[in-house]
Amino acid sequence: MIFNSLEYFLFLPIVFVLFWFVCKKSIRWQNVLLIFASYFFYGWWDWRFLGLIILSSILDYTLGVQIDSSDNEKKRKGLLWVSILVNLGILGFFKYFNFFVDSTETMLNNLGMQADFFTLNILLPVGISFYTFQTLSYTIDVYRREIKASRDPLAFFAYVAFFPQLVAGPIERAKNFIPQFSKEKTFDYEEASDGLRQMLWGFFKKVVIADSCSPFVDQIFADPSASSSPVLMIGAVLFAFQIYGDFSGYTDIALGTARLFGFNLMRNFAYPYFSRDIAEFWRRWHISLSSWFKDYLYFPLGGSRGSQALKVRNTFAIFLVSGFWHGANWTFIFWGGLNALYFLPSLLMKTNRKNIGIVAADRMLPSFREFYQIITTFFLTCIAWIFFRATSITHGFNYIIEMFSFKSLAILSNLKMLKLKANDLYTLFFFIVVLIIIEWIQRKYQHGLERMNFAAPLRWLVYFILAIVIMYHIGEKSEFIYFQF
Amino acid sequence: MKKFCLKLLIFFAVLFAIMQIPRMLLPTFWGNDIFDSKFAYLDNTENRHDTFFIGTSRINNHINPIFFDKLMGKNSTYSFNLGCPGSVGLEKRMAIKEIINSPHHDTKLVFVELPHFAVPHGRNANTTRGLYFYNLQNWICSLRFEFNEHGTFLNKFYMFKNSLSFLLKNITHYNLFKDEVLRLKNGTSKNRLENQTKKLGFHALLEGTSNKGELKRRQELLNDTTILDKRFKGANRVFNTNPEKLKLKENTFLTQELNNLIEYGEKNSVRVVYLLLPKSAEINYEVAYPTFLNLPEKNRINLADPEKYGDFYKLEYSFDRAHLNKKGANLLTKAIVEEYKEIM
Repeated sequence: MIFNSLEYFLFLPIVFVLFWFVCKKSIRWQNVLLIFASYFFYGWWDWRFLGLIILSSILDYTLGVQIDSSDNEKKRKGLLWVSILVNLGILGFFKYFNFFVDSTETMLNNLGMQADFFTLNILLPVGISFYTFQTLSYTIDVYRREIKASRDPLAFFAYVAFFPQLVAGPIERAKNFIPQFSKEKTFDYEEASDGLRQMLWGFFKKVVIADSCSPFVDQIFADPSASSSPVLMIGAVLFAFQIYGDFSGYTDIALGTARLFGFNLMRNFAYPYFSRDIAEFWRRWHISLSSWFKDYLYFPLGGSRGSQALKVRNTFAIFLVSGFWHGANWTFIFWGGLNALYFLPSLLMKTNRKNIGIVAADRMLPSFREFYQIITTFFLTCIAWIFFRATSITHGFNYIIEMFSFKSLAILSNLKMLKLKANDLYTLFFFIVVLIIIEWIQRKYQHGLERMNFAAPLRWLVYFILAIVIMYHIGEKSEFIYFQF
Repeated sequence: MKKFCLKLLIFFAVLFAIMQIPRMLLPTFWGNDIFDSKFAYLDNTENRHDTFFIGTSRINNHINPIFFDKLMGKNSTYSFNLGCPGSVGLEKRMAIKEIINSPHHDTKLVFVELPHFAVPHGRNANTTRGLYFYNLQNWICSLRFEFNEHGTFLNKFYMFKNSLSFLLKNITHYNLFKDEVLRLKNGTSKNRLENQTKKLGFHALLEGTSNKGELKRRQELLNDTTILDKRFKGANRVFNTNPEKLKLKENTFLTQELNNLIEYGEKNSVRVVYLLLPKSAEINYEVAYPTFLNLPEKNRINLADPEKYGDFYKLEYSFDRAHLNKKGANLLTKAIVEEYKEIM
């Protein structure tokens, strides 16, 4: 089930009513409801893969208890490795098997050896990368004795499968999240209302921005040689907004939904396109994944301590693995590598923590310097996104070469040739400007509609306008881009 | 909690009411351009048509109303082709009722390509085309049809799940609102209206067409003409094998519903005649034929039987594997006239 489907509009109120009215008096029953609702939510897409989530839950719950209760370091380490190998084994099989086979085959053929391996027609289970990393972090934290193992299977199973964040994060940490399943809940009107506002803003970003960018991006990226330089630039910028609208929109809906049930998920986006440098961008984009890699990969490797060579190695390690996490394609690895290259100068010059706070926090508008920094960072990000969106690295390079060739400067005639409507593009630009303005005004807050301190009729008018615009744009089922990861 | 739920209910009730506006301001919303322009023509013309052809592209591309009227004899009929490519049974059902009830015409005779009422599926299922007609009445009709089919429990469960989703989408305007607003804003294009006026709804398939889709389909046939033999053999197997040997199962609800439509027509002095048209896939005939045999003889015509109408399966009369060219369309129109005169 996806958030922007009618099924979800029916599913959510039913679960909400059952949670607050029927199961109100018992945390255990609330957790049972959340487990079944989450399995139903996931099974709506493909019930066969529910087995993987249940397997992962049973395995990590059992291993967590055993690791926690053992004093034998060797045994604890062994059990941790079982968890890592099984979780990554499942992820590796479903997500990376064909990639490794293809890559090995290509490599051997390039070396002059005849190789013809078989590949499998494997369907990628939705959200596998997210819940695998979430359960992995649990066993690692238990092993490190940072948390106690959960002894409440219902709380643990609900933690793994909690439907708002099951398929595309945020990748929650057990330390923050599991205790929430053991705490008695009282309905908080303000929290729930703000949760709904956050969901509304998320739907706006997903349905109005991301889904409207999609046909332009698909058409322009399909054949870069068929588009003029300005149109290719438009395509790159639109993809940047598409992926932001899609993923941060999903996250806002997830966070908002969770707040309806009294849960607080971690923040995943903090207005990344207002970043003044790449380091700041990565502190504001997909925060739960960046911090996961920081805690479980970057720091164990030594982080930013040690020699310059070590710093370079660690930076590349975290960005390349992060790229590979996104998908079994060299384009993602290249995208990760490119971001490492962007990031490295500031790390080596120790300027990577220069821009920590909110941009122009005490002013209405950024200074010229800040504006320049924001635009430059956005430009670099767009260049990297091209490889993220491209079907191959060559495709990405061709796109960039064509974009800067300036062979043609036509826009309208080129759009017409691509069967894209200029009017749709103007409308889309209008909504992108609305998005930028609202997010700029709200940049101190968690989401675009938080703390709307104006008269109720005006507030309701804003909600109605947004809801109607969303209903107008809602189209054929369009899945979230990050579901594939 | 009560305050929260109440506010939420008010919000959605108002939103729902706002979204009804375009549909309330519009006449029946025909969720595709071809149906839309044909009905717009019928609503606006001063011509009083009395005979209509309803169905898919096999009606749209095969029945020439001008030729039909000529063959029927001077002033005996004034027909219009209401065929629409890809239209499904539930749309046809809606169109039959619309045309019988419309005050704009003097409807006496309606030819309908024999429909079935399955839950929409395939590429149109989640688009405006697959949803606009899916109201409560059509939902019940499709469910009754599906539960009379002989599928597995799991198939029926998925079909039920999809059908419920389509119904709710129709009610809430989910995925329809944009098209409804745009139609309210743009109306029906003049070009399309003029086109319908000139040819009375008929669109012949010509070898010199500039339509890329049509050219592609034509080329596919020319690349492999054996498909015509396959269609011939498939149809021949259904129509000319001992029915007991074939073990075709009748969908009793379909038969009952088609008879109801005949009765509904008779009450309004309209004769409904069901057509089995040539060049369809064998599986369609397997569903349609047992029902066809249980319809009154004066309300059915079989033009698909290769033993009697083998010409329709020949390359000479074919445009693509599923459609006739203009020559074939005229032959089919003539065959309808001859068959109809026999049951008149």
